Amino acid sequence: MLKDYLKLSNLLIKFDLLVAFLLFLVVINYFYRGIYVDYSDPSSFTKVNTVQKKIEMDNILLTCTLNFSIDECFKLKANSHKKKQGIWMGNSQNLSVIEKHNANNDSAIKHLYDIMNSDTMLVTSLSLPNANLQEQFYILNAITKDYEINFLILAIFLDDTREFGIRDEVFKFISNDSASLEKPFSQFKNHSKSESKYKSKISSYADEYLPYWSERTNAKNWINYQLYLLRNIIFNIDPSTKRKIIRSNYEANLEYLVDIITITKIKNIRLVLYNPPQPPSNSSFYDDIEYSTFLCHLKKLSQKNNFEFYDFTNIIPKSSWLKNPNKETYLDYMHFDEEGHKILANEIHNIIINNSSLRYKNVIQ
Amino acid sequence: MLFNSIDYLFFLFIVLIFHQFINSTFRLILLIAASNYFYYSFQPQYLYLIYLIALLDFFLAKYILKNKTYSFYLLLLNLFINLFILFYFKYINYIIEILSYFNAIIFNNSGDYTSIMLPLGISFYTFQSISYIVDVYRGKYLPQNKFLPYLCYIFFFPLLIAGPLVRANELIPQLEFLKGSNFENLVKGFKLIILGLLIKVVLADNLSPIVDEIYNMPTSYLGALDVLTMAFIFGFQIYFDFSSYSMIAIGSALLFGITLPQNFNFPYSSSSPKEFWTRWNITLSKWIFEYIYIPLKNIKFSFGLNTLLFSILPLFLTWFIMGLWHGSSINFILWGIYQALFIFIYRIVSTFSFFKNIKYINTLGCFITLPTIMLSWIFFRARDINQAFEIYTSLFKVENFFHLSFKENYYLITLIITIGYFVTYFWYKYKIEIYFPRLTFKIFTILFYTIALILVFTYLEPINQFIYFQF
Repeated sequence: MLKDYLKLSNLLIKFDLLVAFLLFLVVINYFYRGIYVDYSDPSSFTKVNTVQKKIEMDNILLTCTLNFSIDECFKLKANSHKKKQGIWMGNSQNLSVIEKHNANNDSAIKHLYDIMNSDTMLVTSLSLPNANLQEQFYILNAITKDYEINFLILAIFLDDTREFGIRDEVFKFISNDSASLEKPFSQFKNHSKSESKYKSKISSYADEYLPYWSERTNAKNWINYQLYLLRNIIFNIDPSTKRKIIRSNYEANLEYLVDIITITKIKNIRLVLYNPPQPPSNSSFYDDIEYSTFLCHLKKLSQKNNFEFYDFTNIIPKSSWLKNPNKETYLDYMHFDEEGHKILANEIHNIIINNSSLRYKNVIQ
Repeated sequence: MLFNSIDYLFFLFIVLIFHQFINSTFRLILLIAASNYFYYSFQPQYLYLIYLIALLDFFLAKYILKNKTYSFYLLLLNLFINLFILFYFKYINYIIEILSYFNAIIFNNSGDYTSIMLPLGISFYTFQSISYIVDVYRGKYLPQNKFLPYLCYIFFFPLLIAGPLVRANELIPQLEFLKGSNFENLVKGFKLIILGLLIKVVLADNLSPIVDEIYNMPTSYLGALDVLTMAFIFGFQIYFDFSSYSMIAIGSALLFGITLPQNFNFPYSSSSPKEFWTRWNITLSKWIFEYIYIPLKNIKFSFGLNTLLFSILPLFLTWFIMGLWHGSSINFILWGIYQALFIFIYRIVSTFSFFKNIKYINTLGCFITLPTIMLSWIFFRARDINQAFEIYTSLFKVENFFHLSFKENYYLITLIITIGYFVTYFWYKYKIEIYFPRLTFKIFTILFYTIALILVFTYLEPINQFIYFQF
């Protein structure tokens, strides 16, 4: 018995790396097989039924995302000169994700298309997860360089002002050629361009022949999600946890809002800004003072610069939101159902056509 | 071909297979061919430069030994050529920028200038070349009779781009008698590569976007805690990035039976700046000490400098050169002067007997050295001198002391990494493994490498090049 133990012990000591490698193969086989859902999309791994939909009408893309290029989103539309072109910018809540979704449900942009006279106007949504205003500015700037835009509907979330900086996918979107673009302000330049030519060969072989190689992004997202859950459990974070602003990012975002306003003035674009709907709850997940200061600032900005600003905090009824947001579903407590999307589309439609809000009478203008 | 890419692992595997099974006489040729291919995958246009430097050193070194009368001038000639090449490629863009600025001001002529790309690894292979020639001149090393081992010394792919900086006597004898690697070296080599990749792809690459974000943020609301977070988080990024590169380089060399010197030894646990520089980029620090600091110290000035100035001048000059070596921007020069100043203060303070009698002087030293060194990295990472000073000024903005400018996660990550670093350090320092039964520890090791392999497999992407590639 002791001999056997010593034999095993010596074998393990000598071949520890080989044993680790074999274990790695076994674990990776088990682990990667379990990751069958797309962890980059909250709707596929949270326990609520939400979805992001790509909507095309008459071969024209209504829901532009970073997966497309600016030309793919706007080239066809630019050919129809008689139509007024509008962009509806915001994050997933207003533009793409539908809570309690079934196959026939559509998001606000499709409802807007249905009710709007699409012979004269065409609105394209541009949905960006956690969209900060710096990114919105660069995107708008890139679009308006090549395409004539008549009106801009912009949702501005206080929560998203916590974000700052330009993500790689946004760079790719505005440049149409990510490889040639360097991030501004980055001292450390990327020399991986020469790598990419060679890499693609080996990587494409790996994608094809190496088991699970192509599924690694999903695994990374899974790991990130587990870390996120762990953090929330340790620090007891849930939907009701107050989200404080990050002052420097907040100020920097508002500076970019001023830049957006400037673009709209120069390019003669009608700007409609709105504070998006909030889920009904006893206490807001924002700090009350910070939230009211934020709304007050937007109001003042709209008065000073003569653009429209609407506060949509309460326009979506309670029934359209997730019933009991809890720790398992905190990723999706922000999204509402198709009824909510219809309400939002009607509001936007009325604002665009009649310059007034339907339900929410307390319009700030 | 970055170390953190599947391409490199594939390349390494192929070279290793050939190396193990071919005749020993062809092993050197194989390594040179592999190094050619490795460099060619980055910058084929600068391949000639390495050959040029290698040929020049090889022949000049022979003449230095033969012609004692002219040996000093030959040495100067070699140093001039090497340093000219280094300076030309490293600083020409900066000089052109300054000249064009004056050109625009004085002659109102703003022409377009194409910038010249820095040849990868030039700072490292020119330093290796200089140390060879100086050692031959000093009689410490006999010039090479065979060209191929010397070429491979300049050209050996694991250390071609960012070191470790090795001396001729450390590497050439190993290259002259290349054997197939034994089982022990193979296991050690693979373990180092896995560990290096783990640190690079999981730690350094995941810190990179956070560092980019916080250094791109406006500085107006930063408080002391924010500045320390910025300093620590970049300090750890650059440490993970560079030490992982060195680990992969040392591990790769070990696969071919070649032992390279250690380049990092838990530098952030140092109790003084002097100790820090014996544990951070060890090979470069030794090089600078031996080939710059000591010669400067030995120069006998005859123009009446007072004693204090005379004693500190070599220190500040050395660190000025060290800063300049990292880059032409004023940030790097100030970083060098910061280090010199810190060492100078330490030298003065350490002479007081009062400090020697403090019971926990090393712990206290660590508490002072760690944040001071971390803060110096701000010069390294800030996009320009203005931003660097804005960040440093924020350390003293009392009105910002009590609010946080970053996402809460970033403070948490910095704290976890700092704690994790010291836990790992104490584990190694006190050899915690001896407290476990041997088999239990082995099982732990197996589990560790299993998890490491899973993480490397999952995160391996050449998304970020190594920071030291630009130097």
